[in-house]
Amino acid sequence: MSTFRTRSVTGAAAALSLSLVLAACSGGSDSDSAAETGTQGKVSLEFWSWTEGIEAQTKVWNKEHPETQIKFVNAAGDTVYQKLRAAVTSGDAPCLSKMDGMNLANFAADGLLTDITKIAAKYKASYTTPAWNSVSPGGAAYGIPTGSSPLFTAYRADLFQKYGISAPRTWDDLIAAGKAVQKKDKNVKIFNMAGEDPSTLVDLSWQANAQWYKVDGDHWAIAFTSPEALKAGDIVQELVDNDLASNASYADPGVFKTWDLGSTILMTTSTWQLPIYDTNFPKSKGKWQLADAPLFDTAHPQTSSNFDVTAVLKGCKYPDRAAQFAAWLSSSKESLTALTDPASKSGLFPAVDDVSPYVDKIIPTDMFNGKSDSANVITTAASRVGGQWQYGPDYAAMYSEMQKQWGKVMKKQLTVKAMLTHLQDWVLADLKNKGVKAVAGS
Amino acid sequence: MSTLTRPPRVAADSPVRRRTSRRLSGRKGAYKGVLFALPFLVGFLFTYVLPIAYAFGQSLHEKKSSGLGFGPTKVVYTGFSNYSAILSDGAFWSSMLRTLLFGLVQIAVMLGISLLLALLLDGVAARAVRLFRAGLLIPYVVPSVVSTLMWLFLYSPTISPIVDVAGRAGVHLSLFGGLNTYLSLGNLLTWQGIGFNMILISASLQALPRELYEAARLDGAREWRIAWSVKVPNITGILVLTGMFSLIGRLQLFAEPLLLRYVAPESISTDFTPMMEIFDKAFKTGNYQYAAAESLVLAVVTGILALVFYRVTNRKMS
Repeated sequence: MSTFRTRSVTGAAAALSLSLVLAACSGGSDSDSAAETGTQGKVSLEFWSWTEGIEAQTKVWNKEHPETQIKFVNAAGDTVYQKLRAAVTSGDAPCLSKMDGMNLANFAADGLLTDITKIAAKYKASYTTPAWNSVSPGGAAYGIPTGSSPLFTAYRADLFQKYGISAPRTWDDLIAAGKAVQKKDKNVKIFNMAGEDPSTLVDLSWQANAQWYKVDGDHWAIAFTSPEALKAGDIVQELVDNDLASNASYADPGVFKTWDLGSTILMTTSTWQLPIYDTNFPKSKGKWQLADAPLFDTAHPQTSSNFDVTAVLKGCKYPDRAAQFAAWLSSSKESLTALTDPASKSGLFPAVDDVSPYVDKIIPTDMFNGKSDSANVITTAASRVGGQWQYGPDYAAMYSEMQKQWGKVMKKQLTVKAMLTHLQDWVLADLKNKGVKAVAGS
Repeated sequence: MSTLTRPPRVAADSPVRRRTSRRLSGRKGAYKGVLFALPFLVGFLFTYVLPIAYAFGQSLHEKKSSGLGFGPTKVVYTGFSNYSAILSDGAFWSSMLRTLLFGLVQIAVMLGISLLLALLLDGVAARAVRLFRAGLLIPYVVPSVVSTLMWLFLYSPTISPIVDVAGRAGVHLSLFGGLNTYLSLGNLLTWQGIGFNMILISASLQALPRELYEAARLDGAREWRIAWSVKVPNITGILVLTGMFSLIGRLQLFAEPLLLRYVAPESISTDFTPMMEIFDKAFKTGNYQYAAAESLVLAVVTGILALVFYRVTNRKMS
C-alpha cells in the first residue's frame, strides 16, 4: 500500500494548491471579517453534512434568511473526517460540519475548531444538558447540538412469551432472563455485543453513572476503574462468561438476520435506527415491542445517548451566523417538525428538552405489536440521559485502544477489568505525553 | 639520459589524456541520459522522494497540547522520540511478526500451487495452455476489494452458505478465530495470487530451451523427473523473484484483512497488520506523526527483509 501513502500526500498537495487559488479569489470581497459583536451584511457559509433531509432544510433557511446563505455540501462517505482534517489544514474548511460528540472532542483537541462559547451562550438553554456537554468538551463550546439518540430496548415479544420471560427492568434482570432462555434453548441469546464495537461498554458505563473523563478544575480526573465503571464492566463480563450474547458484527451485511430469525431476542437501540427496521425485519414484523433501557439503579434511572452535532471549524469567518443557522436547524419548531417527519428520512431526533411534539411520527408502523406505548418509551429515554458523561481530549485514541482490547474480551482472552485497568494507565500516560494535565480519579 | 627519458613520459601522458577525453564524451552522454530520464526523475522526486522526506520530517515531531487539552495545539520537534516509542510498541511489532509468519506459510503454499500448475500446463498442448492460463488469471484480474467482498459473503457468520450448510448438517462451523482466521485469510490471498504467479513461472518455463528436455529424455528421464531435475532448477530465478514480491506484498497487507474485519472484528483487530495499525493511528486517532514514523520503520524492515531474502536465496542458487 505504498501508493496509498503517496496518494494521500499528493491529494493534500492538490487541496493545498486549490485552496491557494480560492484564497486568492476571495481575498478582496470579505474585508468585514470576524467581528465579535456581530457580522454585518450578506455572507455565505459552507456546511458539510450527510444527513438526509438536511439539504431541503438549508433551502428553507436560505429563502427566509437572505443575509446568511448556506452552501450545502453532501459529504457522505467513509473518509469525511479525513477530508475535513485536510481541508482545515489547507485553510479550505467549511464553516460548519456535521460530527458526532467523539469526533468533535477529537477535532477540538487538535485545535481544528473555533471556540464559540460566547456566541453560543444564548442558544444553550434550548438544549438538554447532556447534549450541550457533547459540544463543549472541557467547558468551551465548539458547536451546536443537532440531534440525540437516547437508548431504549426493543425485544421480540413473541419469543419472550415463548420462553416465559418479561422485559428486563435492570441489567441484573437481563442476565437472569438470558440464563432462563439458555436453559430452554442454548442457541438463543438475550443480547448482542459486536467484536468491533465497545460502545456497549460506553453505554453501560454512562448508565451506571461512571465518568471515565471528568474536568476537575484545571485538570482531568481519569476513572476507568471507579466502582461505577467496574459495575458496568461486570455486566459485560457476566454476558461474556455465561455466553449470553451473540457476537454479530454491525458491519456484517447479514447482521439484521440475527434478530429477524430469532437467534438473538433483545437489543438496545435508539431513535436513529427506527426508520430502517421496517425493511430490515421482514420476518419478525409486528412481533416487536419497546421497553425502557435496562437500569442499574431503579431509584435513579439513567440511560445514555449519542449526539449529532454541528461543529464550527477553524477559519470560519462568521461564527455568529454559523451558530445562528445551526441553532435554527436543530431547535426551531419549523425545522424540527420537518426533520422529524419520516418523509425527510433524516432519522434525526431532537436534542431539545421537550421532544413530545416530535415523537409519534418517527415510530415505525409495521414493526411493533402495539402492546406498549412506544412514544412514551422514547420520551422517557430522552428525559433519562445522564448528564455526567464527558469526552476527553484523547477520547478517539482511547476508543481505538479500547477497540483492540474489546475483541479479546469477546473471545475471553482478557477480562473487562483487565481492559479497564489497562485503559486507565494508557489514558494517563497518553495525556501526560500530550502535555495535558490529568490525574487518576475515583 | 634526458633524451631517453622523455619519450616514455609522453607515452605515459597519452593514456591519461585519452581517459579525460573519454570522460568528457561520457559527460555529454550523461546529459542526454539525464534528459531522457527527466520525466521519470521528476515523477520519482515528487511522488517518492519528497513524500518520504516529508514523512520523515513529520516523524520527528509530536503534537502537544496544554491545560485541559482542547484548543490550539503545537507541533513540536521531539527528535527520535516517536521511534523510541515504536521500539517498545509491542502491538506494532507483534503485528509485524504475525504478518511475517503468516506470510511465509501462505507464500510457500501459494507458490507451491502456482509452480505445480505451471508445470502441469507446461506438459499439455498449447491450446489448452491458453485456456487454463486465462481461467486461472481471472482471480488476479478481479480487483482485490471485489474478490475480498465475495469471500466475505462466503465467510460471514450470518449469511455464509458454507456455514449454513454445515449448520444444517449439525456442525457449528466458525471460519474465524484462532487458526481459522489465518486459514480463511490465507485461502483468500492464495486464491488471488495463484494465477499471477503461475503466469510468471509458466512464462519462464516456456523460455527454457527444449533441447534440455530432449537430452533428459534420451537419458531415460520420465516427465516428473524432467520437471523436478531439469525444469525447476532452471527457474529458481523467477521463484525467488515472485517470492520476494509476495513477501513485500504480505508485509504491506491491508485491504483484505480490513474488509474481513467487517464480519470477524473480534478475530481481526485494528492492529492485525502493520498497515492497519498505521491507518488506524493516522486516520482514526489523527496521530500523523506517529503513523509517519511507523510507516518508515515498516519500509525499512521490509527493505531489509527483501534484501536478506534475496541474498540468501541467491547464494543458494549459485
